[in-house]
Formats: sequence, structure tokens, C-alpha cells
Amino acid sequence: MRILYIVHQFFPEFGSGTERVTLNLARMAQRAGHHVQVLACMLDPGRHRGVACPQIDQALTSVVDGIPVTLLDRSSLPAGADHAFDLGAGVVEQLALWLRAQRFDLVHLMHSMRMASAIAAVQQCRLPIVMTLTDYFPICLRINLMDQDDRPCAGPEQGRACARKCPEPAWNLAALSARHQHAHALLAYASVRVAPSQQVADRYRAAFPDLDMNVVAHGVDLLAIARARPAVDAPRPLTLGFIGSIIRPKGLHVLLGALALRPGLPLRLRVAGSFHDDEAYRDEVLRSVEADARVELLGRCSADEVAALTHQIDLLCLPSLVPESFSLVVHECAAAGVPSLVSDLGAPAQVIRRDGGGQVLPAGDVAAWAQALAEWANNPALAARWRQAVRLPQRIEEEAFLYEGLYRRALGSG
Amino acid sequence: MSQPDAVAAYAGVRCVTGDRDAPRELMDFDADVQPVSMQLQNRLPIHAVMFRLAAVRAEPRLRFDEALDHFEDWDFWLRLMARGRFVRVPGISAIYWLDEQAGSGHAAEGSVRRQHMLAQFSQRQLARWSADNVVQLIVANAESTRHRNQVEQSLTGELADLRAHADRVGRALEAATQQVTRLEGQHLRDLDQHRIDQNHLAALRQERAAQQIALDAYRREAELLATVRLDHLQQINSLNARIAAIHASSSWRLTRPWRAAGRLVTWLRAGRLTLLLRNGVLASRAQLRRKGWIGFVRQWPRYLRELDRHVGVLSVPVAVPSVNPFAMTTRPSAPVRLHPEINGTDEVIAAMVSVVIPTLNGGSELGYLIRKLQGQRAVREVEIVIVDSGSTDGTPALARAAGARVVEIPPAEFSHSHARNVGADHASGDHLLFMVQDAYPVGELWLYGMLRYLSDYQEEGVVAASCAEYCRSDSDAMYDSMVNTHYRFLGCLEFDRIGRHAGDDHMSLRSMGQLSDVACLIPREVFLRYRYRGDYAEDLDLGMRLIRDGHHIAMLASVKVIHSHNRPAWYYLKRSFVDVIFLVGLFDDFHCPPCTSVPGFLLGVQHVAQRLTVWLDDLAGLPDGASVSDEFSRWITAARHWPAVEPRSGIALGDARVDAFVGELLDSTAAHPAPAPPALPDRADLQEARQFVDAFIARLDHFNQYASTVFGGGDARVRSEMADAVRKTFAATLGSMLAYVYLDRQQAADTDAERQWITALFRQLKAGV
Repeated sequence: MRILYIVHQFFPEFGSGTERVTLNLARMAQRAGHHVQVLACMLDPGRHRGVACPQIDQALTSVVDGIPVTLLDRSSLPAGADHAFDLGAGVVEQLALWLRAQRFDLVHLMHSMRMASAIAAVQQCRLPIVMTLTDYFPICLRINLMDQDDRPCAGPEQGRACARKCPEPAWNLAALSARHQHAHALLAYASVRVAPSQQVADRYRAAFPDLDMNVVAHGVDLLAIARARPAVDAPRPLTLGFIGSIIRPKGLHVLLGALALRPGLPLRLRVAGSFHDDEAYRDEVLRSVEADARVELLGRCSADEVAALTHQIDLLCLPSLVPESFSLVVHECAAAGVPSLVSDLGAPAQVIRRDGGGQVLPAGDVAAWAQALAEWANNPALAARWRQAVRLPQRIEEEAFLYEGLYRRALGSG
Repeated sequence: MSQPDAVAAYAGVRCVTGDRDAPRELMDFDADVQPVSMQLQNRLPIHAVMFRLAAVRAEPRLRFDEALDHFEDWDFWLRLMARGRFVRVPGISAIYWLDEQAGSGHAAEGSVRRQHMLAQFSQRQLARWSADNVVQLIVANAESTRHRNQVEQSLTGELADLRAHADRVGRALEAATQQVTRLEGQHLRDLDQHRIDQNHLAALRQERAAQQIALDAYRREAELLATVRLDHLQQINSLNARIAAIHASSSWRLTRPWRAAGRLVTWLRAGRLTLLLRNGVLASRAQLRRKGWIGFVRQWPRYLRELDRHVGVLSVPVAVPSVNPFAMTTRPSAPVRLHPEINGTDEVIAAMVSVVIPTLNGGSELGYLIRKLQGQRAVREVEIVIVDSGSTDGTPALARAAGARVVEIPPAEFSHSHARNVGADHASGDHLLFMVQDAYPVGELWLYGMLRYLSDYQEEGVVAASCAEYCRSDSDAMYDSMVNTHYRFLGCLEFDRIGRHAGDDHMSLRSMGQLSDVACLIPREVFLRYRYRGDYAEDLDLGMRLIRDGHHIAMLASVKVIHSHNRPAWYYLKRSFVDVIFLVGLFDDFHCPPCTSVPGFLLGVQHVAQRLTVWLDDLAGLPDGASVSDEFSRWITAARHWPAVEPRSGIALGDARVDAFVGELLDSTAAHPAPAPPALPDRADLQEARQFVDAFIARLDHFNQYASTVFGGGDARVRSEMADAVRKTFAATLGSMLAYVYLDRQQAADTDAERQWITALFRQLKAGV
């Protein structure tokens, strides 16, 4: 098969969850003997090394970890492409010509943000699409299904809820309704729709009751985690882990607040992740860290460093204030046998409730988090029970193989 | 005359009837005539009796009684018989022709006169009979009746047999008739189908002809369009040149402020400023609410960096497209047998599966495998049996702690077959699943998927199923290509395949009889009838025995097992050597080319190794984005035209053990008796050298066929994997060709030294595989 992965951004400029999943799937499909390429968008061309793509204006081609990548320049796309499904007419035509020249059999759409023109070109070429719904972008302007007042949203109600809860200057009800219809048409065209968790699948089923959804969890790099396991576990104090971006929605401040409520608890917290644009939040977090000697900031960690960290912590904390569509770190820690404390929003809560490998706590409730940490730290039997219940997650090879089956279904072969 | 006591002699008579041209024989009177039976019936024809005149003339003289119109001869014989014995002379002396109008007096039934004469004759008989005569008559009649009854019974039995036989014949005839009718029907249908096919073929031919015509038209149109395109390109180039000239002109530069002012006026007239201000205020409010004043102010550098985009978004009126550009029909798709994980299942298969895994220092990955197997769903029970042969890394303890049953055997006792057979003996499941310690199932319904397949195809005779491998993330291009080639050969790269006995040639047996110990599921009772045997390719051996016995076996692609190796080139050398030795030993028809010149062979090895030493350095220097496959193709093309002989130069392929082995092979004349290649090799040397070069190029070309479809532009990873593949391909070629040399020289070694050399070679390469 010749497979094109379409994603809104890619390495080396961006390297968060969706980009990692895309790279993993592309590499595994290549291992399985398929020809793969990635089509993405670059916001800052200066951060990419490559040569000009002759068929597409301002686009670059490069190779990332053995995978050929074609990057569209953000400036060549419509201004509203970050939120809407606006098409750049010239880009669509150029992309259609490029797609035909590359003779792809199938497109795996990993994220539709900024890539509406590419999707329109794919449709023009009548190529089958397998679509992974890594987050809520098609049904939520704000992507995370939280309204402007940071309250969980049940769904778009065909745009009406968006107009009511998230009034945006550039959007009115008619525009929001049209966006919803575009999203529906786009999903309906896809031969196969896949959500990484039951939580996401349920949300999309609610928004588009006529469309069926498959669930294939993202895989973890089990070999990396196995390789990172130390031969002998060195003695250490009970250790909590926070792994993720340090931004307000991820809720690190809730965890730090909970620790501050229990200054005598004999444990430490290791924080792996980097700050982003919110300077005020950065200062708030740094103040809390400086006030508590038990907290250690590790900064941004590579994938190998995260794999090693999973063997150095006893409990993962995911105090997210938004409904996560999927949490790779919860699964990576599960591979290392580490249970999790998670907030009661999104897919991680579903996983912990199902397996019992940890506890689900109210999002943003500092006192509840403090209480749970104390119980865990003072009750070794509870900790052992959680560890026992942790279920082995799916690894990237399994995810890739299941997707290969879905590619065959989309192609209608066999 | 020889019997003087006899008074008469008689011969036989044949009675016939029917047409004179085609007479039908009725019966022969050619038997001994008994005096008793003569009392009731005359059995002597008038003309066939010769009697002694003396017996007739003896007083009282005998005469034919003229008072009798009928039966006068019978009367005469009875009276003569009273005077002496009658002798039969064997043979027919006369033929009587009988018909309805004429014949003997016995045939004229119903005749009144005959009745009268019979009454008269009976009076005479009564006068002649004594009590003894009557007794004899009664006895004779009883005997006759008994004989008749026997005959009747016999005939009745024969008649019943005949009727049964007739019934059977009738039924067979009926069945044959039905078969003929059916065959006639089938024949007619075949004829109809043939006619339909002919018509269809004719229609297809017509359609093809029409398509050819259309294609020609398209081609002409395309040629025309190409011409038009060239014209257009020229026009575009011309226009671009004019635009560039305009842009470079002074008037264009001078009027730039006017144009900008015009755009600004247009922008303002369109109310964009109002929109920008209004939306800006709304957006700022939203940001303030979300981030607070401090956060909002701190974001300003970022807002300014993205000012163009923000102005673009906020100053554009809301546009609602009237047409939904994504509204298209979904492409149709056909059902495919997929991994059960995708669709899920509510079923639980009531089976107990014992997973047998031989281990040796299984490491942390074994722990993951055990956890994964214990997490399998939709199967009643899973038992794990570990057969460990001397681990030093704590594998048995780890396995026991994880809940597995552990059987430990001494390392010296290990063989691939024995360890698995021991595991099977300790297993209690109704199914056995043989695995290896570094394999890993795909999904939690993996075992269910294999069991489900066995169950679904049980009626087709499938008794065992193995999974195709799915490479691990840390595999390499060489192993990936081998998996691709191997499972394509087995027919299960993409789809499930059922293997059945299709011939005893090695290709048929290997392609149809392959099972894989990486994951092989088989009912316990079937396995115990066969068990594993031998110490190499025991899975292939089991599969071949099963299909030869009429069973079917499956290789699954719908359910695969994660497994691959990243072996060094040295392993490929040894493995290829042993593979060839094994295959030649197992299959009579496996081709084993002769080695006509050991020095020539070594010349070829040296030639390739030297060239690779240089080329591998060149490969590493390719720039990012350049196609490594294209570079392979160029090198392979050039290799077909290499000069026959090249001076000796350094060899460094990048695998220390292969380098050392090749150096020893070429340098150490003391280690083997083959003389160093002469300065001017002869024809046989050159042919053998070329054979090695060609074998290597063919293998590398095969790999590149795969790589060219998979890889696009290269980077450090691709170049590294491709270079490794070159080393491993060389090592595998050397191993295989050395096996041919070994097999050839083993049969025809010229000297003891040569025999010792190949024996040492065998020991070195066989060790540890």
C-alpha cells in the first residue's frame, strides 16, 4: 500500500502526542512493507530543513526518521484554517495534482486542523480515508470540549451550543452550523473512523449519531520501556510523577496545591515537561515549586527519558482540568506497572475506573487530591492493590497492526 | 450279441419342432429304460429297437396286436420285456419331428379314440400286473415325486435368486439411467455455459476493441493537450517575464504607495476596520477572561508576532459557504476478516489453552509476554508452561512469580523439539500453543482469534494454525524484507491461507507445510499423535507430516504475532550455511550447484568484499533526501560489468566477525588447502568467481526491489539500515555458497587436507545455530 498520513503539524517543529502517534504509525507501516509519507503544515519554515516541493507553492519536502514529509506553509493556507475548514482554491488544485503523482492508495487523516485543503484534494482524487479523531477539533472550535468559562461541554448541538457557550467574534450561528455540517461531511466521507478511547467515540457518536466509530487505543513503545527498566531498583522515597505540558489546563497547580496541604507527607514529586506561552502561569508554578523542597522540575524530557522516568516513580498524577481524549503517559506508566491518580474528566478516568489501577478524583478539587495522596502514601496495601490491577496497555505494534486491518477494510480488499 | 441274456437293444431318439429351416430341439430320449417306468409310459420308439427273433418266436409267440390302433408297440415291448433284459446302445439313432397336427400318439391329447384305446390298454395292463408290479410302481412314483419336489424346490430357489438378481440389475440399470440423465443434463448445462462464456468473451472482445479505439482517441487528445500545454507554458513564461519586468520598472516602484493607499481605501470601504475593532474588542475580552490581566499583557509579544494572522482572521466578515465541499458519498467497502479486537466479541470459547514457551534468559520481555497472555479475553482458561534450560537471569523465578508452571531441564538436554515435547507433557489444556520467549500477541483477543479460526475451519480439516510475524518497532530493513518475502512465498502476507498436501517437491512442501513455532496452536490430542522431532525446523517437519497425512494447516494474516530479530551479519552467515545444509538433506529435489573451483569461489568472495568496503563508505555520505534505492540500482548495474580480476585490497565491511572470517578464509592458506588465486586465473576460476558475484547481486537486487517500494528519500536511519542490509546480504550469500562448496567437496574432496578443511568449516559455522 502507498499510504499518506495527514496531520496538522509535525516534527521537528512540534512533537507532542498526535505527532508521536503519527510517526509511530508511519514507521510501523513502513516496517510492514508499505510506502508511507506524511503531509503536514509548518508554522515556522525556519525550523525545518528540506528542499522546495516542485508541485506545491512554498511547500518543503524533508525526511524525518526515515519518513518522507511534505510540509505546507501555513501562510499559503486561508487565515481561518486553524479553526474552520476553509479551502485555499489554488492549494487544493496543486495538492490534487501532487496526490495523483504520488499514486497513494489510502489516506490516514490524523488531524484535520489546517488541513482542510488537503482533505478536499483527497476527496477530489477519490482516495479512501481512515480518520483518527485524536481530539475534538471537528466538533469543537476550542478543541477540548470545554466552554469559555472552562466548564465541560456535552457537545456542539449542531453549532447551537458553540454559539451559546463560546461566542467568538469571527463566528455566528450560521457559520458554526456550517462548520458542523462540514465536519459531518468530512467524517461521513471517511471509510473508517477511529477514536483512541471510548470517551472520544462516545462524544462523536453523540454529535453525529448516524456515523459509526471504531476504538483503537494509541500504543506505547513497550520495548523502550522494557529497555529502560533498571537491572536493580535503587531504594528511593515514594515518588509521584507529573508528565506533560506545564499549562493551566493540565492542572499541575492542583497537584502542587494538594502537596502544600500535606507538607508532612514523606514523598517527592518529579515533574517532566516544559512551560509554554502563559508567563503568569509559569510564575505561579515556579513559586509553588520553590516553596516545596519535595518537588523537582526536570524540564522537557525526550521519549527515552520519559521511558526511564516511568521506572523511577510509584504513582502518576494526571490532574487535568480538561477531558483528555487519551493519555499516553497513563498507558506508558501502566506498561511499567505504575498506577495513576487522574481527574474525573475524559478517557483516563474511564481506564482507571475499568481496571482499578489507581483512583479517579474530582477535577480541580485540591482537598480531594490531598486526601488521596495521603491515603496512598500511608497505606502500602492500597498501593499494592492498585499496582496489581494495572493492565498492560497496547503497544505501538499492536496499534499499527489493527490500523492495517482497517486500511484493508477501507480499501475494500480481501 | 455280447449279452446273450438280453432280448432287445435300443438307441436314443431326439425330438425337435418348429420351422424346418430353423428347428428347435425339444428333448432327447436317450436314457436307460426301466421296466417299471415302462408300465406307465412308453419310452421306446418303434424304429429304434432291435430284438432277438428267438425271444419273439418262443411260445407263445409274440406279435404286435392288430386289435390295437394305438399303443401296439408299447404293448409289444412290455410283453417282450417280460421275457428278458433290454440293453441300451448310447447315442441318437433317429430324430422325430413333432408339431401340433402330427406326432406320436402321446401328443394327441383329447382324442376320443385315444381315450378308448388307453382304456383298452389299461385293461391289458391290469391283467398283466402282479402285486409286486404295483409295489414297484408305487415306489417308483414316490421316488419320482420326491425327485420332482427336489427339482421344484431347487428351481424355486434359483428363481428367487434370479428375481433378486433381476431386481439388482434393474436398480443398477435405473441408477445408471439416472446418472446418464444427470450427466446429460450437466453436459447440456456445460454446453450452455460454454455458449454463454463464448458470448461473454465475444462481448469483452468487442468492448476491448471499443476501449482500444477510445484509448487511441484519448492518446491523440493527450498528445494534442501536451502541445497546447507547451504553448500555454510558453505564454505563461512570457507573461511571467512581462510581470517581472513590470515589477522591476520604476513606474511600478513609484506607484507602490498609491496602490497601497488604494488597497487601504478598499479595505476601509468594505468596513473591515470596523470589523477588526469590534472583533478585536470581543477577542480581547475573551482572552482577558481566560488569562487575567497579567496573563493577557504577557501574551502581547506573541500577539504581535502573529499580528498578520490575527488581523486576517478578525477583519474578515463571517462567510458561510452555500455549498458543503466535503459532502460526498462514502466509498464502498467489502468485508474483510479482521483481527477480532476491531469488532469485539461477546463470545467466550470454552477451551483451555496451554501455552508452552521454551526459555533461556528470557529477560524483562518474557514478563510482558506472560502478562499479555494472562490478559487474553474470550477464552475460558489459559495455562502457561515454561520449559527453562539453564537461565542465569532468574527467568524461572520470574515466571513462577507471574503464575506460570515452570519445568526446568538441563542445558545439555535441550533441543527445540525435546523442550517443547516436555512442555506438552506437562500441559493440561485441551489445546497447545507453542510460542517463543520474544514473541508477543497482538491484542487481548489474539488467542480467541486463533481458536475461532481453528473452530471455523475445523470441518475443512484444519488441525493447526500459526500466525505470520509482524515486525517489532526495533526490527531492521533486512528482517522486514525477509518477512515480506517469506510470508509472500507462504501466501499469508495479507490474507489467511490454508495449506494442504499439493505435492512432494520441496517448494510445495515448504509453502504448504509451514507451521511456525513463534505461535502454533494445535489440539493437544492431535499433537500427541505427532509430537516434535529433530533439532532444526521442527515446526516445518510437523506441518509437512500433518499435510502428508491429509490434514490441513493454516497460516494466519488476520491475526499476527509481534516478533522479529535484529541479528548481526555474522548470524546471517552461519544461519544461511545451516539452512542450505538442512534443506539439501531434507529434500531430494533441492538443487545443490557444484563447485568447480574453490580458488575461483574465493576470488569472487574477495572481489565483492573489496567493492563493498569502498561502497559502504560512499553510502554513508549520501545527502539527506537522496534515494538510497536509486544508489543501490546504480551500483548493481555497474557490478554486472565489473572486470574479472582486481588486485587485492583491504576488506572492512563493518561487522567484526564477518571481517575476521572473510580475512581468514582468504588469507590463511594454512587453514585450508585451496591455493591462493593465481595471478591469471583459468576459465573455471573465473566462472566460479562470477557465480558468487552474480549470486550476491541477485540477492541484493531482490532486497532493493523491496526497499525501492518502501523507502523514499533517505536519511541517517534509512542509510544505516540499508547499509546493514548490504552487509547481511553479503553474509547470507557467503553462508549459502559455502554450504554448496561444503556439500560438493564433502563428496569429492581431493585430499585429506581438503576434507579436514571443510569439516572444520562445518563445525565453525554450525556451532550455536
